[in-house]
Amino acid sequence: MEGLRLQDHSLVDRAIKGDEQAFLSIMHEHKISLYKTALAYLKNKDEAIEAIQEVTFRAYQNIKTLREPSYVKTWLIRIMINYCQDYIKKNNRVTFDDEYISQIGTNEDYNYIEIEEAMSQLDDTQRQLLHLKYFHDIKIKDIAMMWNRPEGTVKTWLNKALRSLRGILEEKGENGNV
Amino acid sequence: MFENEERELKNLKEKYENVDIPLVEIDEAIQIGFQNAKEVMMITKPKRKFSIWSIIAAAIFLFGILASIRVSPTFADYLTKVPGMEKIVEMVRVRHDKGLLSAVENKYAQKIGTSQEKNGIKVTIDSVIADEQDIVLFYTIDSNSKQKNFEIDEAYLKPSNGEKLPEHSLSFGGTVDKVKGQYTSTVEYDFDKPYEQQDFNLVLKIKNEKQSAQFSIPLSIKKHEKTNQIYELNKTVMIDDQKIKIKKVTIYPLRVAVQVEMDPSNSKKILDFSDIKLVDQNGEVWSKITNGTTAKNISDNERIVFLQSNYFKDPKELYFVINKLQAIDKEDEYLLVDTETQKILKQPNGNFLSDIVKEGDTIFFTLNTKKEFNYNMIGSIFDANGKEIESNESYIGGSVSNKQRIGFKISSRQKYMNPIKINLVYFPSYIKGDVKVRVK
Repeated sequence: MEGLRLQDHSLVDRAIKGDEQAFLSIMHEHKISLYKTALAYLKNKDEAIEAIQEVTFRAYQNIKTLREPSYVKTWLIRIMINYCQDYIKKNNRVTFDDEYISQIGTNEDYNYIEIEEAMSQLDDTQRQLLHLKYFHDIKIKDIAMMWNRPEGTVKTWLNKALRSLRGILEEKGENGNV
Repeated sequence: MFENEERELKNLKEKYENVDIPLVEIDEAIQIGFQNAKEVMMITKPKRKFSIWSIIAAAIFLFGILASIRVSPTFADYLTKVPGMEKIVEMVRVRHDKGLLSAVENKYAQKIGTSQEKNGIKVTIDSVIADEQDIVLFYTIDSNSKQKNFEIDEAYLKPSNGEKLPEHSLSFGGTVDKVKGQYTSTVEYDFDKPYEQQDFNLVLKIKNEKQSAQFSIPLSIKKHEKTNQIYELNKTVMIDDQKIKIKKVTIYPLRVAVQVEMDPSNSKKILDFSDIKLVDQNGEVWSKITNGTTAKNISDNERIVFLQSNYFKDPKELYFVINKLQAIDKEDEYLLVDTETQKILKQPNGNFLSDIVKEGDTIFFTLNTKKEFNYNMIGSIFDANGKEIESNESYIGGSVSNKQRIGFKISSRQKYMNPIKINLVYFPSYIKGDVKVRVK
């Protein structure tokens, strides 16, 4: 495992220095995580693919600003999340189209829609935090490094985010029972 | 403590483990994004030869922050009856210009539909929206093969009678990149006085890495009556101790032109009218034009800024509002750098720029701002002896973690003496105020 990490590291270093093949290898390594993130935010296949294109564009332009090579995945996912959040704001909508529903689950199984809707009601930071932690299993320590905040602060935010999520879910439950 | 929520989140993650992954399309998107980043990101400066006035770089296809535009029910009804109109409305909507949309509602859009095909690439002129001093032309490039990544080299209108067009500014968009292989774009003219010609050819040169092609497609533009309304105001307002005279407001069907003059004794140089708008008696707002020509410089201190038109709405009362301007101290309006030692010797207050580095012929900076800054700040460049240095390409990267890479290229055949002085034509430094002037 140690060998693999070292190799990854030098790949990122090469990409930062302008090695195009190294950059493309990194994109291909993380493309599935990026696609799933885009789909989770945008709920639409075509838009998710467009997002991949835009994120590749931004990542290539900005890879030189990446300070810590071992966080390249988190860095890419953050670019994707920022893109998606802006995109949603600009288009002012959250949609669940039929194609998407059939892709992600059967019709009897709508539970995930409830949680997804709840996620979309969180503020940007809270949603991003839950996404990084639970969707990509990124450690609090790494998120804290990436955001340049003490670990304790990020933990507090995570608790707040989960509490907000609970609040939204409970509110929905109550409304449903009336 | 949050076991339920955590379990739900884990279930959600598992759901996504099972989604279809369209690998072919993802790989294609990575390839296009990569190519675009490598090639298209070099922004060519607007060609000056088209106008005696310098044209303020138009932020083409940087999306405005406007709310979505609604279409009235009668208009929606009309749309369904005229085939092809829906597409035109869709193209107009993307521009976030409600004045332009209202011109379409008032039958200012002319459907064209003429096309030409070469080497498997088909160009269709979809429509033209025009008033006596403006032309906005929409076209589509369809490619039946796998060819992608088109770049527009040149796009302009050539009068059929061989005459020259009056003074104007011309802007044409890069292609709006649809993954599906269809591209839509615009060619836009803003004339300084009414144009007489009606018959034109759209000349279009496009290329991608494999080939290039030139198209010439005829079209006629229906004449419009003289329609503009002029309001002479000559009122002076103050924002942060800077005097600005609002000279004249001209309302055309497709745009509103506001002519302003900055007092030469001002301590700051106004670079851009960032937050300005027109407001009527009911609070309805018409914002700046964000696509196409956004402003024109008449002289150092005088300029015309363009806003979306409310010509068809014809409100009873109308106000011009200024809230925010991009401005820097006059003694600060340049950047002094040494490209040899890679040092920034002087920059405006705020230390927005850092990490100057020379890579090949291109000099890069990091711009540190909280909000993405999509203006090309690089103006004329002079070396230590006062000799002007030419830079034909500049670069603006997207914002990541509040950092953007910006740069400009100086071709290696140009010899110059360090340090070089770069005039700043835009900068992320602002003054704010609350100015409201009655237009009518």
